[in-house]
Amino acid sequence: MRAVSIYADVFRHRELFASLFRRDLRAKYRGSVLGLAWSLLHPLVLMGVYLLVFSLLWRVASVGSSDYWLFLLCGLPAWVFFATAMQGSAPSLLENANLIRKVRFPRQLVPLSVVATNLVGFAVMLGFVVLLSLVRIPEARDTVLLSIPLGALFACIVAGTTLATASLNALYRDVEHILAALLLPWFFLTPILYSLEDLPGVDDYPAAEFVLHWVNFLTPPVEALRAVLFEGVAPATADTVYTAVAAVVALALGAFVFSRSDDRIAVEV
Amino acid sequence: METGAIRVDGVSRRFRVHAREIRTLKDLFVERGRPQGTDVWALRDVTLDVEPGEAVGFIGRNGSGKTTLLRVVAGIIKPTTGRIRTAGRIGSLLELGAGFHPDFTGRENVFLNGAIQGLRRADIRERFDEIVAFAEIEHAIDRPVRTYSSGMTMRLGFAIAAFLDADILLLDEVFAVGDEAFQRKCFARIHQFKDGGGTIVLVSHDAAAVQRLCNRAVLLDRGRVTFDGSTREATARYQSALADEVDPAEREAGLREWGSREATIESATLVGEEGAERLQFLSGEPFALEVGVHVRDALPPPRLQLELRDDDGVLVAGEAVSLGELGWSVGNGARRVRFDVPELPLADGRFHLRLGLTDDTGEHLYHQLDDALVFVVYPGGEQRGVVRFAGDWALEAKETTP
Repeated sequence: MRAVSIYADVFRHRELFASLFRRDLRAKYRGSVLGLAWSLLHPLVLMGVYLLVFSLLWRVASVGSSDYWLFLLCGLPAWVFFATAMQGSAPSLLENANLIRKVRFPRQLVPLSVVATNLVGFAVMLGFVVLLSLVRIPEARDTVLLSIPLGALFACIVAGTTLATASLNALYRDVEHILAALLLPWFFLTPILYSLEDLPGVDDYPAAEFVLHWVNFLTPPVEALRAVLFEGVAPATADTVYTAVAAVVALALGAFVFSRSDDRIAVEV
Repeated sequence: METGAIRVDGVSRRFRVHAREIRTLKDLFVERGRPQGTDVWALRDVTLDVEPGEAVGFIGRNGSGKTTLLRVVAGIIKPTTGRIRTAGRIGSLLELGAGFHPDFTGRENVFLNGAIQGLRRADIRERFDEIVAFAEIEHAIDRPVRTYSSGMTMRLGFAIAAFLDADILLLDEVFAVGDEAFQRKCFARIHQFKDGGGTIVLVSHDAAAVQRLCNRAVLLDRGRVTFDGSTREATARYQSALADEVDPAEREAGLREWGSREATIESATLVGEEGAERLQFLSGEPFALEVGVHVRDALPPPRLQLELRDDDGVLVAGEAVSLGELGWSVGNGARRVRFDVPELPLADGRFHLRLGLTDDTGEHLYHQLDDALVFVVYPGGEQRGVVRFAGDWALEAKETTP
């Protein structure tokens, strides 16, 4: 199984992966006063900004709950993780071109290590939200721990899509720009700021709801995470199954695109 | 298969070359339906075995496929057809300091680079002092690499690769640069590796470098092996092949040196930054030409001309100076003329320097030397082609999305 060995290389070459991971983590914040603390602060600051704008300044009443701020926080970590990992790793193979052209090593480790650095931020945000939800939502006590396996499945989705995007970007340089242009509409098409059920227009356009829910592969994991964190209920079976299948499909797709382009990457970066 | 052996079995490698490079998805759509580009075979049916402990040189002109073959052996690219097998750890020195992160200190880069070359952290820690001592940068090891001179970067890059404990060492000719003393040290280290039973593959378009190290050489021409045997014979064939390509008119005349000889060019040397004479330079480094001129009769000050051509005979640069303007007065005797270039504007390749001495009008030729000097320039970074395109890159602000 080539697909499996592409990811197994991360463990087989864990020392190299750890070195790349350390480099990416530190290179990102090199020269800043707070240094490494930024990798923890950055996601928290980002969440704070969303909170300020969408919860305090621009009061949204659609959720019908007084804790809209917490509703928002439960959806944000997944989005921030996806967006930063995609943007960070898309150009990563090109940025390491001089290495890739001159040394033989498992090249998939380059984008995957960027995903790993963003995974740290995701874990911090998720941990923070779990704490808040334990305090504010008593019924979530039984379900918050489900966010760990759900988060792990989501990380697989991100790793797979990211690997595919980074490989394509090494061959076609406009992929990262297309991605940058896509992320903003994608954000609004993912139920982060709103809940799918509470959208007033959904009843009139069932097709639109279907697209938002099942074509956008970020929606089921986001909905599932919010069920366990905010509503304190087990995630819908359909969302859970979709998330698990999406994780496998994304990893397979990432491995497929990468192995198809691996040789060309060494020639063309 | 024995450790240190290389088996290349019927290896061919194809590259697809498009009239216009397809670099974006847009190109992919725009170019659809147009001719599919042409295939270029960089390697054709190459078969060779390298036994453990052998030192083999791949020689050939630019574009002969020697670097592609090295990259295939290194496992960086795959053969289109055929099979390649290697046994043991491969250390590759295709570019000194490849993958150094400029913002990281020398110490951090040693660990990162070692990890990329497949070394465990503990192994690197064990050899760390040796590496730093060899590179002679003890004083700068905790400074960011961007503050290093090109010489320091290269020394560190070589030291890491040299202490990798590889079974097979792949060398691109780049290693032959740097100051004379360090070059000797590099060669000593490589010989030590060879004596310890390591396999060496060296790629060069400079036959002399191959002769210093290898007893066997493989001559490549347009992707095919045209000779595989003793270095002496391979070099002779390579040089005669090069000579065949010299302008036929010049070859018929059989002249490399002519003129009326009232004034002659007695010597010509190239001098590097450190003041020593050499024939290998790194793109962008300081470079000086020193010419010894001897005037036999009481002549008005002569004029010195120089012409720089690449391996294909294309004129790269021409320059002339009236020695009178430099303060030469009428009279005979010997003088030295120096031409200083603060940053060598050449990028990559072998260059031929032609020197001429004429009277001040340029009409009467006293002495001309074709190929007065042949020297090699290696790219220090990402440069390709003949000319070094000096400039400053900058990153413009990037849009961000949530």
